[in-house]
Amino acid sequence: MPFARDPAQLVERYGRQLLVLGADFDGQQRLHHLAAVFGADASPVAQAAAEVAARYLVGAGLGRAVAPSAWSAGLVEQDRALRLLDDPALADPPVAQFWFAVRPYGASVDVALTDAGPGWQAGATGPARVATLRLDLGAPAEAGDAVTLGALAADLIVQDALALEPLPALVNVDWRDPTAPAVAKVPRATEGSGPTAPAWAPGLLAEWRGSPEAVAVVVAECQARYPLEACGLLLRDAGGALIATAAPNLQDRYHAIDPAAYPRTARTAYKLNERLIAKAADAGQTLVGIWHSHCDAGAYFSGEDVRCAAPNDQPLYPGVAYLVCSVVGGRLAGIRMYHWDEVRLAFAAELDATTAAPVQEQSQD
Amino acid sequence: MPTIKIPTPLRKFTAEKAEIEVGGATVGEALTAADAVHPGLLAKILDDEGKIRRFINVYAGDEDVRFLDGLQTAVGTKDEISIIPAIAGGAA
Repeated sequence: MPFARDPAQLVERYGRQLLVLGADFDGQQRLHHLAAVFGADASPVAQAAAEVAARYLVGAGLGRAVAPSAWSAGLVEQDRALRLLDDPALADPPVAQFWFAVRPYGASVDVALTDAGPGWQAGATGPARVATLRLDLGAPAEAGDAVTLGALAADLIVQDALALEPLPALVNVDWRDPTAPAVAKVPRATEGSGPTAPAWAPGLLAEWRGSPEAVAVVVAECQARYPLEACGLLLRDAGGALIATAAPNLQDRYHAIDPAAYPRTARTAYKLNERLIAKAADAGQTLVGIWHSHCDAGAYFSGEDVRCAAPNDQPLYPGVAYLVCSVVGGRLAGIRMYHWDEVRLAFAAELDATTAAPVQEQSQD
Repeated sequence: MPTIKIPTPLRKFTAEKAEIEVGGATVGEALTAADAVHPGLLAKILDDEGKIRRFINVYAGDEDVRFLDGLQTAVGTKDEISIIPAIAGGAA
């Protein structure tokens, strides 16, 4: 890579005021209204990429930021007008959340832009949009790649803010193929082609985590049922409180009567009695989520999960979230919450409202 | 007459009614009777071979009819038949 290898040097290099071509007053106003929340995994590369993105955006005129204290002071030195926020929860929309991570294939950044759209302003209500930018290097990213990832991620937001290029759903940057376009974009569904309400609904994961009772029900059941999958419901009672319930996993019963139609056992599948939803409704409770565990597997939304939850790209329970728990060796190893994204016609992981991090490796011990 | 509870995605076939009353002495007869009044409903529940689709569950009371006599499950006049999208999935 032609860049300096030291992340500190990369940050220094990009810690300059930027001149963004095509920016007009309205575009600069949008950036000024924006609050950007920067998060990264523990790797120095991801951390440096997050700081590069922050420097880039501050240089372009970002108004508000939530950043790790290790380097947030440097952002204010870069632009004295920047407002540093301590807590993402205090950031009024529009908000852009970033999560940088080193991956086996290179690196990625998830971007969630809420209350945005043409002409977006502080406090304005609009659709949420989620983008994933993948830097495909064929190997885990190194320090020299941080600036590429950080700058490209920041540029997605800048381009959107300046109404030059709308936020795409997915950007693949493949450096292994020199003949491929530098940036190959998969366009989003066009406006008006479907519902614009965000399926990416921040907050449910944090809400669940904030309820010791709800957490205890899920964690205890996941660990008690191991090595079989556990499952249950997330319900909201009439008073608005979130409740978690455990349900018997009936998969083995289905497998026993019809192994051709139900080839999996409870070791790798779950099935619950859907009448529980009606019973909950009779008790004044509304279904908001469905949870289940993966045994000795990650907290990803598997192909089987997708096939069952949204056959033919049609979610069977619109608006209902899916909480997936990874249980490894009988212990909870990771948790993620998934929502149906009606724009991308896919399930997207919820970014944690507290840390801006997709929760996948966090231990609940 | 048995009552059939209709899930939200299928209510476009029932003029948005959440439940309908139909005739029939078995689950299959009740569903067929419902389809006669609300054409298109049955095709969403049964596949081309006449089996209940994998992602659909038909309950007689609180039990999936797959564990009873399937579509031959007898229903009384006060019984409730529920059509409910499946909740299932799994790792890998």
